[in-house]
Amino acid sequence: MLLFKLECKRLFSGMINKLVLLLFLLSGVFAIYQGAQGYKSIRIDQYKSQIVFEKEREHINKREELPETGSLAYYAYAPTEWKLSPWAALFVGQSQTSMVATKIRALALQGQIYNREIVNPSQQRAGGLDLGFVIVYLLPLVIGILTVTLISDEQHAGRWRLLNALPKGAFSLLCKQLALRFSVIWLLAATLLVTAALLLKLPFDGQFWIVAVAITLYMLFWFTLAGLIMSMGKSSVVNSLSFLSAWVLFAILIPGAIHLYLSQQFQSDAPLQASLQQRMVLNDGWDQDKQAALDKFLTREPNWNDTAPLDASFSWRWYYAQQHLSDLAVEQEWQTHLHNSQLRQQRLQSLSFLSPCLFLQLKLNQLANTSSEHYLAYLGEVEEYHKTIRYFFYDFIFDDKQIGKEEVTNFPLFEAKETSSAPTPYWLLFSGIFVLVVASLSAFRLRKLRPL
Amino acid sequence: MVDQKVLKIFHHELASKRKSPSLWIIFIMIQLLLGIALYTGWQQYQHNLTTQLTTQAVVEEQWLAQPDRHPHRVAHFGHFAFRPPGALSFFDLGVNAWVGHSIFLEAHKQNSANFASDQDASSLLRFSELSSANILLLIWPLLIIAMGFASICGEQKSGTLRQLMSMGVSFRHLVIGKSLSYLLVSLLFILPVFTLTLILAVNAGAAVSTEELLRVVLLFGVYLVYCLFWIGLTLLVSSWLKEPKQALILLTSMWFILTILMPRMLAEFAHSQYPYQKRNDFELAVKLDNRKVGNSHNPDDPYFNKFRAETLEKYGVDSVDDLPINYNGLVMQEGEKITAEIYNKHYQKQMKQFTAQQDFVSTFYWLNPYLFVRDFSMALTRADTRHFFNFEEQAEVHRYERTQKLNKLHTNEIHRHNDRDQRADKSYWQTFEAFVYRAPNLSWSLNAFSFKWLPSLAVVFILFLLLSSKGMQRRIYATV
Repeated sequence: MLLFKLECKRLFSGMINKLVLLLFLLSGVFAIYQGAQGYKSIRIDQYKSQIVFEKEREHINKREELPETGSLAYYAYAPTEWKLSPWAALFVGQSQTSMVATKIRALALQGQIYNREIVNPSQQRAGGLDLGFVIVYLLPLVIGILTVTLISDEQHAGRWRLLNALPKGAFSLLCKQLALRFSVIWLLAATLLVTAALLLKLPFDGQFWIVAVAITLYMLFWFTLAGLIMSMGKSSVVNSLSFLSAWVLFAILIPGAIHLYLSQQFQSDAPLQASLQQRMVLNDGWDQDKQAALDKFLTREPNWNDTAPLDASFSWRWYYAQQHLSDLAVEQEWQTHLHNSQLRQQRLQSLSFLSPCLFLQLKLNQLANTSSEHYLAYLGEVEEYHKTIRYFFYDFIFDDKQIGKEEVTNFPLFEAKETSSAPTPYWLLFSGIFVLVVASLSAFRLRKLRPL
Repeated sequence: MVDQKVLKIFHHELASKRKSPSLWIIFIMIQLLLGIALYTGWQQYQHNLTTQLTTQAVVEEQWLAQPDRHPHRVAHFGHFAFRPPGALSFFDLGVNAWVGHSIFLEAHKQNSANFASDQDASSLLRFSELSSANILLLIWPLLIIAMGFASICGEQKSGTLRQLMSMGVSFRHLVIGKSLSYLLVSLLFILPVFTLTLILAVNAGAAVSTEELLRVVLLFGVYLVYCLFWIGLTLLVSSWLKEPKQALILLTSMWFILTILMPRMLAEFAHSQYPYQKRNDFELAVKLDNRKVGNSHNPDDPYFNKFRAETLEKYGVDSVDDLPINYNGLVMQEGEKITAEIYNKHYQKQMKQFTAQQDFVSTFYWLNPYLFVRDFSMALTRADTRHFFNFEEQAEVHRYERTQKLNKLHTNEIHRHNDRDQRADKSYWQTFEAFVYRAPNLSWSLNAFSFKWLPSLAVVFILFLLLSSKGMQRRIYATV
């Protein structure tokens, strides 16, 4: 007990130690607060989009006579929703820069799917501060500052030789010191996590424990790395510099290099080319044989084969057929783009093993449904819903029926797919094994460390 | 100021750094990294430049190749505006990853720039790209710290400071000598990347003017001052603290706060202080305002009824059919004018918030020169937010002029009777000017800064003033 008190005193004696812990806590609180605000604005955006749609629908239905189906469909923007987990407040990922409530109508999908959220690019350039950042990037530095000079300080103070002479040896003392630091930092991190969970009403379910275990393992990794560095038996300064270099490498250089590599490998102008081509197809259609266009459309959508031939006047039937044909014209580019993005994701996944920071960052974003894969999946849902809307209107347009108020009331709404329960987190197991291996190596080396 | 003793210290410090193998390794590795960053930046720049220029040429051709068409259809055919990357953006990529590079210009509707390349940014770009500028901003200070954190307290601890003092070397000599040596190393460190930047900029050909060269020189200057800031800070902390280990931890903590934590916190805080509308809100606000003004398709619309009455009065006729011009075209012109005004009103409101955010961040230039150098560097390479919005504004001006010219054609060349079935001659399309993005000149690029560079420069000055102050000397002499 005496030893424990003494160690606590040592831990909290240095000005810098206290400052670092305080800084960690403050950044965490700040990040949680900002994250909660950001998440709230996302939810408001999604909710508001639905309200706006309801209002528009009421407005339409109040009219004595509904507009022509084609015209009604032209203005019928339906809301969609990127279903995020409430964890998105803590692990923001792509949720602040992408559309979370894209509006969609029965016109060509290509003209609507590339819309971006309005962002302040300077803010993005600064990098963002969510709890994920605090945990993934700040936490290791806190660990480093508190631990990496433990042995060298003892050596410096001349105690190391003395401690080694004790029956229990310096190793057990070192383990206790490390355990104390681990507990303090772990408690701080846990406090942040629990505070966030209570504040955001996150359920204490499997998800929560996955995050907790992942963070614990991550901390263990950096502790064992600190142990490895200490086991070299160098001076405090060398130890600190080595730890810092490791951090710079894992946090900045490896992700930066991976980004360079991926942008080089998967450089693609497919979306731009698709847009350009689609625009030409759409416009040239006005000068071409309209019946031919409709026939071409009907070969792709045979459900409405019974529709009457066109006459000379403007027809919504041709208009919507033409819109869809323009999507079909760039179908290949679009699929290539999606495929390319998926490949890029896979490559990123496999490269993320190079850096624990990147690995955890990706996993946290995946847990919160804010990763690029989830966004792509959302785009897939939007595409699916776009089809539902089209078919809904096609029934009226191609069968030449006027849409009624009842049908407007029954307009199909977007339903976000329930997020499939996350796959068993085997990655935790693998990470655990990895950390265990590094830890045993580090323990083995530390045990052998003798005073010079 | 610089005498024999200073030179001795200077040489000695350089020699001692030269003997350190780990410094050499890191030095060379980061040089390599800088080289790679510059090379990939250059490749990306070339790729983007070719893509933007060729696609701009393609859309211009598509425009010119149009057959006889109704002007309003041409207005909906629309046009594209592309933003070629800034001539030096291979050095500093700035915000390029988060902004789109092309805008679709069409009638009645203002689109935003699309096709940004920020895929995976949420996990890979948390420290922004590995650009040359970013390496100089983030990594190089760490090396200055690693070189210099022990320079005073180390001498003090090992007792060499006492010997130096007894030989008549003053603290000031020591500080100047060491500063000069670190400055020389910094100079050697940043010189290759700037030389390459200069060579690449010259090779870029057409884009090079004396102004671009001036930009490179200014960039070089501002990064050198940035080095001076870190040298001053390192020496100050090293003189103030007794233990090299403490100096190192304090300096790296400061590095973390200044370059990583503070910029984020400020940006996030500015965002919550000066929020702007999200896309859906913004579009809704524009739509609702448009609805308030009037609907040109509605025969009973008060705004357009008034407009019709005024037009009839102006031409002294009783019916729109008697007008010598096409009334439909006039309505188009009026409608476009109104929607553009409304859009601009809302757009400027957003701009005001963006500017307020930036202004908020810039009030901390005095406390954190990193912020200043980062922003100044982006402005010099035309890769900051302001330059991007300038592109959006140029594109909007172009869109408006193009659409109104088409509406005038509609008014003058198309008869109101059977309006939709008529076409304007294709020769008219040749009279439209291509969209050319005019890259802002140096004075525009920098005019957002006016005197904001002063606080940062003052900080550097004050650091060295503190170092050579009587108080600091006394502190050192007292403990020798």
